[in-house]
Amino acid sequence: MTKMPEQPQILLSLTLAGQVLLQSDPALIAVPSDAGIALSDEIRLAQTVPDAAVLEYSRLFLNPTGVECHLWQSVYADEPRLFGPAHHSALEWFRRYGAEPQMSNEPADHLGLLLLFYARLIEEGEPADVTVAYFNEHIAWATEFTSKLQQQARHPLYLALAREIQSILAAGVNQAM
Amino acid sequence: MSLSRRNLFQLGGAVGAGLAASPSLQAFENYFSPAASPYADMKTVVSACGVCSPACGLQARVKDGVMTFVEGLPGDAHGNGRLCGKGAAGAGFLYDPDRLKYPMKRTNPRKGFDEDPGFVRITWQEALDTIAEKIGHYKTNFGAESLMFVTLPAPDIWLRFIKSIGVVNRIDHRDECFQTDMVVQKYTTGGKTWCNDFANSKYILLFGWDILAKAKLVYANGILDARDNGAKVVHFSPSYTPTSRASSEWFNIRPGSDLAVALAMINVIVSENRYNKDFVDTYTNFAKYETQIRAHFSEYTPAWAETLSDVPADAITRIAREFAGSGASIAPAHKKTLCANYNNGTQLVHAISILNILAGTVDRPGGRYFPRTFSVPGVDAVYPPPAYPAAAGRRVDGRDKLPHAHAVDAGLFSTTADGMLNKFPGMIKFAMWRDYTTLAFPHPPSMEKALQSVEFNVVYDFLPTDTASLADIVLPGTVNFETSDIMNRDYNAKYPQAVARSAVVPPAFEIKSVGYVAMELGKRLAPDYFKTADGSWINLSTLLNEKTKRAGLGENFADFVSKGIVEKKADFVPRTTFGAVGGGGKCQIYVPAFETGHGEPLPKWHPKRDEPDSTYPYYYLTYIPPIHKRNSSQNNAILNEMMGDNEALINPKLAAKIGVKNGQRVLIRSRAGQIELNAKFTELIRDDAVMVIHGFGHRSRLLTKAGGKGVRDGDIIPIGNIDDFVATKNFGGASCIMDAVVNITPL
Repeated sequence: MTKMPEQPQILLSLTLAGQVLLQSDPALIAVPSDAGIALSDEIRLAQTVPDAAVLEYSRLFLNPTGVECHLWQSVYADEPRLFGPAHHSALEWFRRYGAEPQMSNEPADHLGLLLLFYARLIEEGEPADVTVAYFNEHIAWATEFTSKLQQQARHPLYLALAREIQSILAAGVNQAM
Repeated sequence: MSLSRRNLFQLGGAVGAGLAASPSLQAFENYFSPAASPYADMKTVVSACGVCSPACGLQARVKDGVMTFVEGLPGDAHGNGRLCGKGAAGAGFLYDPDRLKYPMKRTNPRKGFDEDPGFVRITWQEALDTIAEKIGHYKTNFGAESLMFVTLPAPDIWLRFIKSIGVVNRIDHRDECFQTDMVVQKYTTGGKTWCNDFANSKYILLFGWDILAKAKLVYANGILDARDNGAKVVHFSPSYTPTSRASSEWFNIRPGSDLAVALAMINVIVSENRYNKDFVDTYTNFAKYETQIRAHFSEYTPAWAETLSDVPADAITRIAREFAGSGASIAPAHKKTLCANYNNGTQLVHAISILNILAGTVDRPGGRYFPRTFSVPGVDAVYPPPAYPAAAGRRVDGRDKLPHAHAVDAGLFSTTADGMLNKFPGMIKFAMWRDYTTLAFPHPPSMEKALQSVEFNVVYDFLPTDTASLADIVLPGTVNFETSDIMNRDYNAKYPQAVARSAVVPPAFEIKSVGYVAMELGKRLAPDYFKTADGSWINLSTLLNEKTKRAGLGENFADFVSKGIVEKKADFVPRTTFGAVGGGGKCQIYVPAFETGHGEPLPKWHPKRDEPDSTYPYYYLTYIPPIHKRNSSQNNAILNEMMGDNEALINPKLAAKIGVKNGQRVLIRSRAGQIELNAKFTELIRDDAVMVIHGFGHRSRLLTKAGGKGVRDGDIIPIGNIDDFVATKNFGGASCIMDAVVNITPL
């Protein structure tokens, strides 16, 4: 089994990517000063002109501007829908660890939530069979999301986000192999 | 599921306890909370469907606030424990990925389907403040007539808001539905009724309506029960539908000629004195106007009707005799019973009403009857409002030129575009659309063009419709599974029964009910109408509790919900007085009130608006398939999978005549426009007609499933002109939604 990348880096990568997906206004995302990854630089740049990023977030992720890149895993299932089986499965994972999303009226299989939870599993040193299982169940699907994001994004922040998630996916796949 | 030993809300494990919160933990804590329970919450909720108006009772299984299964509610008088395909596909509406989720505002001032609206998410407060400011601005500077609300007049709190700001132009689709029947029933029997006692009918006469397949399970069940009980069902329709298949006899009638057949049947029944003498003498004004009635119908012979309808005269005569003699006959009327399809729809429903009266089955077993329901008070009864301001100003649809249609306060979709474009250009400055799209109008391009002159458009809907694409603000609206209400059973109501529509799930994201919108806009624009007697704001939950209690359904709504269904069984006692306006307690065959208001006291023959000619030699038919609800279900993944596109349905005989092959692209043109789609052969329609299924051709690229699929049937249906309606005695405002003729060119 291939080792995960340096832990602090993957944790930061997951944490920042998760927040960019959950927070339309980059000004509200805290970026560690010594982050040292491309996404963190783009967040800082976006924070200087947040309106452009907010507009792009709406266009990419929220109806009715284009909806090219749905944020929820259930929408990428064979039978696309909101609150599908992936929502329930994600909730089970979260609850197994005593947690549940604060946004109780939104789907739990939001990619941002899934990434933040993944970061905590890794940070807490959960065994590889657990993190691999979680990756396979709730992260691996994001390949399709990332591909769409890469095609549709016009703002550097979201292009950087796509690259960051690609790295996360590559690392997760390597670990699972 | 077992709990992990890990607590993710504090650092431990590989990182080590006692350290300061890491960035990952900080972010995690911003979006997660400690779980209230490790277990899923499972429950079953009693509610009611929302696809069509009977709102069949249902029970839904819910896991962690998510509806996972839905089925019919045993004991419900409408669905009788079943749901139709559309109702069973409810999750496809509720969990459509394309649902509007948050209030949004346009940032790109250029409007059009080729423009990116540049929507950005805003708060409800900003949305409501902006809408209120715009309404106030336009009303102050251009009068209340500058505001157009495209919405049904329900729920009552929403209507209160509309009335409280003096809106003149509230328009809805009912001129495409049963409006003509509202006009006619008001004067002939005493009001619109949905109740058809099919199960006890011995003879059912259906003009046009594909009652089995269109919707309304309560009717489909009734027809099938009637057949099981030995009833005869006769269907007149220019296409062979599921209803035709379930009928005893089907006549491939010429489009728009149903009126001729109905008039000829009255001729037979009256001239041969086959009417129900006891009922007619006692409960109608036949005796008073007998001379006029006999003289009027004498010219409408079966032989005459045959020349117009292609229905053999001897069949008309036989069916009229059978209908009059069965003892329990019924001729229902509803949308697509040609109430709305052709320019002579008002005369047709008047003739149908007369047939029911002559059969003596109005409010009698086996006939059309008035519902026995719980009396549920509206908001105005619970919290009486101050006097509403007069709705002063011009009607954009010209409805006030048709006094009888105007009085029932429905419609008029068909003439609105003409009003906006030609009669009152620029008058409408602000439009608010609720659960309607431009596809619902005859000739959507005209309405889209008209919308270009509207300065501010608001759309409240559950999906990003074509209209939402042109909106300045969109508001995410609920579907039935997210709202609570009292659902009287008024389609099958021999005795009162009500079903509790309790919210199956809470609205997700920032979706809000229209009641919330009404209250919040009301607070901003007309606060005195949204307060209780003690000066506090009306609370919608308290209002529902009070309605429940006053209707006798429970101590409060929660109590009603715990029962699910409440009913008050009683013997059916037929009416002996009828509320027909001007009838003095009797039903009216001859309606003196129709002598004014561009009407006719007895129905005369009028041709449909557009008849085939050398330029446009073929009839144009539209159809709503059993799989879909008009134009609002094509994005439902479950229903879309069953039917996701439309075609030009054409009889092979006609196809051979004009040189069209099965599957070939064809151009269909009318005086209003043209559409292009693939031909599909079917023997099931007349060989002088082409049929296109309604509901497709959504242009919004925001609808993943439906956007760009199929063509709009309405693009070749001419809009209505109120002056033409007046001139042609269309006094009930029938919208002529099938009244087009076309030519067909192979491509």
